[in-house]
Amino acid sequence: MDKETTKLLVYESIDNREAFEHGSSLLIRKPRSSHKAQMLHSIYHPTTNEITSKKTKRHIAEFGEWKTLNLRQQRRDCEVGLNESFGSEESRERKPRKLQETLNETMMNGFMDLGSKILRVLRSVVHTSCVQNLFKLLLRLLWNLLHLSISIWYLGLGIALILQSYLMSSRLLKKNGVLNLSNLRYLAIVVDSEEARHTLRIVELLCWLSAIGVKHVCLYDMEGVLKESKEVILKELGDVRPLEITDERRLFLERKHIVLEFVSFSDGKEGVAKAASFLCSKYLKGASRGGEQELVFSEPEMTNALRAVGVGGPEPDLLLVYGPTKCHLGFPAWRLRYTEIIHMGSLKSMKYGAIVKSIRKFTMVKQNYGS
Amino acid sequence: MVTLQLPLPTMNNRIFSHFNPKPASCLCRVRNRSRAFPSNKYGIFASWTAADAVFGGKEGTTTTTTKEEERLLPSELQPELMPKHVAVIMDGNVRWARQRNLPSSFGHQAGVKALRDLVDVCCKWEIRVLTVFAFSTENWLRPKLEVGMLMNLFEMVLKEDLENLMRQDVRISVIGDSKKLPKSLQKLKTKVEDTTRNNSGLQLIIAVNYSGQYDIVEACKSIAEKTKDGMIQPNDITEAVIEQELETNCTKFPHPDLLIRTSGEQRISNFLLWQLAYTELAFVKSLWPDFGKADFVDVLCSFQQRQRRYGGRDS
Repeated sequence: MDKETTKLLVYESIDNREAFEHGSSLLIRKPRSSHKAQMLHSIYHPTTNEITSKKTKRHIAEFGEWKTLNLRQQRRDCEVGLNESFGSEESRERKPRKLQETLNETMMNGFMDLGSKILRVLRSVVHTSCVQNLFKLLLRLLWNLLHLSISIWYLGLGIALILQSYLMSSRLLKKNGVLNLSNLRYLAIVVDSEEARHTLRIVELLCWLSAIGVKHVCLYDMEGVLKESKEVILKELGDVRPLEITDERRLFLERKHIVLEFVSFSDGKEGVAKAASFLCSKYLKGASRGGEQELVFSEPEMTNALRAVGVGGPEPDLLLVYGPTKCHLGFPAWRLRYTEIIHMGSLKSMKYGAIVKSIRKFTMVKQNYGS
Repeated sequence: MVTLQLPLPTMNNRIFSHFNPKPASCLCRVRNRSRAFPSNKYGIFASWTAADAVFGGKEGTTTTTTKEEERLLPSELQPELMPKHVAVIMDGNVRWARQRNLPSSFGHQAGVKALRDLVDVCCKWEIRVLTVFAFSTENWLRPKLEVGMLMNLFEMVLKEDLENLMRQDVRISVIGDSKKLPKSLQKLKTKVEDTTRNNSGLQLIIAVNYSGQYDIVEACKSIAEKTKDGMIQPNDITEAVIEQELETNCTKFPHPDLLIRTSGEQRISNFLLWQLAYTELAFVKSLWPDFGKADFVDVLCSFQQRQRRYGGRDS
């Protein structure tokens, strides 16, 4: 075998890095494959940083091809060498199978070795930190782009709604036409107690409702701030009067003035407790005379009892909630059976257009009442 | 895979509350959602099957099992802000069936499946009470055939699911006027309540033939009996006394933290009138059979956002 083949055999048979470096350094001396050896050396040398995927793939492909060619060359050289060393025919016949097996084994080992080396090359490339970082940066960029596009969408939506509301407020947008308020007999407004202290905003809101054509409004806040500001509100509005108990039966005949009702938490659960007490007293009186419990305790009787203790009132058709939380904050529960509830956001950001939209939406609702 | 969970409000006035004072608040809210990204980054690498051989299987993969993943809350939800009591008005079964040109019974059966899924999710996420509005006093006005089918459906579901609910440690309570229900359903109701009485997991309260005003009137009736027996004076009747006599006294958490109504209707329809004073109201557009885990997570996200900003309220 020539010197070149010997070196290659050394390289193939020992599978560790030192030997490979030894082998590659041997290979470097070979003028024919020096270019390839240098490339391989650059791949496997620990100090090398300039590795790109494309270059590496080409190197690997060339490396594989070069290895295959060299393995074939090895086989031919082995056969030649063996023929020279085992001169007699008898010997050749005695051990051809063993030699063949040895050759096959060498080939198999060679190919397996080739496969594991390719995998090692791939792993080392992929584990490179700059590629990982690049990948992570790319994903982050995609994520932020997605967030940005959705935020822009919502921003556009908000601007469109603000514009629509402004146009409605300035009466420029005529397409809304006249609202059909025949279904809206009683409107309730729930205001967060902190925001209810802004009396001027409440007055402005009531002016808008009056302009729209709403005639009967119930104002509620939990702590009774609106009740305290009642006089100021009535004075500011002018053509408005408070709801009186006797009005309730003739309430919806009133057309001239806006009728305002001021309600707080004490008219809710506490009011029901008072009405329960009223009914119990009535029952005890009736029981002594042999009366039936069912006659005293029924839903219509409860409504009458609430009116009797001064916390009665009509059931609102629509409830607008102004405040940060989407709940009715203890509005008299007995009156909320079939009331449409719409959360309007903060009182600071109230818009005329938003009220018109809510009332319009209410007029289009169809209630089945359970059927 | 990375999932994008954003509260997507419908085009109504609620959008003002999301956008005020500036769009930057929306960005902050959206950026908060990206908290999901860091916790999922190894999940992203794990989903790249081609990378498994290269990375060698250790780096970038999560190892939780399917059951454990289901039990874990989504990353957008915080365990400490989960509502204890969720109430649901299951509206939209008949509309769902009509949209598909199916009889209404198909819609109600699809609604039962949605309820089963919700019960599973509530058990896993350790919500303490789930109240569902199955049948209102006004629903007797529906066609007799549909009402009969609904009563049979209730019986069938209670019988079939009892074993499964026992396995999940669910306690069942039925509220509403049971006197008008079929005798067989009344007996089954008593049996189911007795069988599950000692379960300590999720309490499932099913409101059948229930009305909020009826609940208050019945509470007043039982108080009246106590006043007749001299146990209490009429002048001593307070909100707390009424509270104890309502049908929701069967649970430690009688006030829902969150009410969900499906099908886009925005009213309470005579459900838990007394108990809903401080309940967050969530009106969802999807019909009840289509209400799934993703919708539930969206509603819970909005609930938790508001809880974080404004705190909870006690009655």
